[in-house]
Amino acid sequence: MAVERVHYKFTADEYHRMVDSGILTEDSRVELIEGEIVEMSPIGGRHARCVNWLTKALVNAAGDDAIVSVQNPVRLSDLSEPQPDLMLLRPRDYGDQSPGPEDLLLLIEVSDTTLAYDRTTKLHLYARAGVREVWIVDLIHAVVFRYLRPTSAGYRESQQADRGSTIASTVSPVLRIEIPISELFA
Amino acid sequence: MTAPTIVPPMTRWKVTVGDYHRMAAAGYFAGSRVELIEGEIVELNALGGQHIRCVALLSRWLDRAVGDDLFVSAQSSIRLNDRSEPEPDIVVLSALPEGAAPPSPEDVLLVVEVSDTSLAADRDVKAPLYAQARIPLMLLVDLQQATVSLYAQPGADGYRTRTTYGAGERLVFNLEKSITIDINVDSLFA
Repeated sequence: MAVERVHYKFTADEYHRMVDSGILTEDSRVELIEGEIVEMSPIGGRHARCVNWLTKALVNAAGDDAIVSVQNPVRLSDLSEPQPDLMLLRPRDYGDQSPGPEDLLLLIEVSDTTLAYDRTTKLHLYARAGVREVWIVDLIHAVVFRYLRPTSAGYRESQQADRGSTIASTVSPVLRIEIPISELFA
Repeated sequence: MTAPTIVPPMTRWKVTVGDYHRMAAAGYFAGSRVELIEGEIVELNALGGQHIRCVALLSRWLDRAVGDDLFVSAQSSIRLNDRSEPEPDIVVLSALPEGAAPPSPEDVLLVVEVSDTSLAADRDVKAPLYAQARIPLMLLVDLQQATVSLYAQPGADGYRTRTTYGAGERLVFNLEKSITIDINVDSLFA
């Protein structure tokens, strides 16, 4: 049905209290996007393989200079706490808090069925929160989009890397992250 | 800048009525007017003067017509099922709820929705839900067109009949056979 109504918006604090009170459980595959609790798609084999490969590459590159966080939450605002596929975080002790946008060196989403959503809703969200660098790995077309220079209206700069090329992150001066694109696609 | 929307294939997480009430008891939705529609918590529109006037008049006329036999409530939600608990503008009940839960559909004889900007949602989403719950009658007042529609014969696919009344007409129907409701349509609209 095409009738769209305004949905109640949850704050990140309410969202966490729902976990504490058992309304949401650790097994709930959901994320908070602009105050709405959204179900996350099931992870297919290609998606899992790509995330695993990137995890290994990022861990190798990061050493002690960054933390690789896989499918964990990031608190972007009072209304948004998504769970990106991969994040490279500033190394510090986070205690029991989710990292915030200022902690993010690089954020990666791996997309198959969710490409349109990742490139619109979520990319805008990341830009508004000031996430400095985002990669979206498009499994269907075997390309990687890289986004830089976040503003409240979106990313000022984007690049596309095809099979046969490499993609490099420049956000951290101490990290050398260079990924051969073809390795990401089975 | 337009607000981002949840684009397909993303789906919203669905709430049960039990969790919905636990959340309300824990202080969620404070300051918001919400209802639960098929597991989704949606906001009710702010009420304008025309809406308030129409609900107040209809409540008075319904209350006079039903006397002591039935109950008219302008602030009642209905627990349609485990996933839906809407709050119609007016309900006519054959019995009051006994416990903590809102009335169930068996006790509802009539729901009234007064719509200005919410017409499509009331007609296309809520009317089928009321029909599936077998609520015998629904009145849908369209403030923009100055019409009122009577929906009857509920079934799994919605109400089977709809009759729309406009300017200069009288809306006449029976509740529980013995009670006749007779409303001058023009008087609903200022």
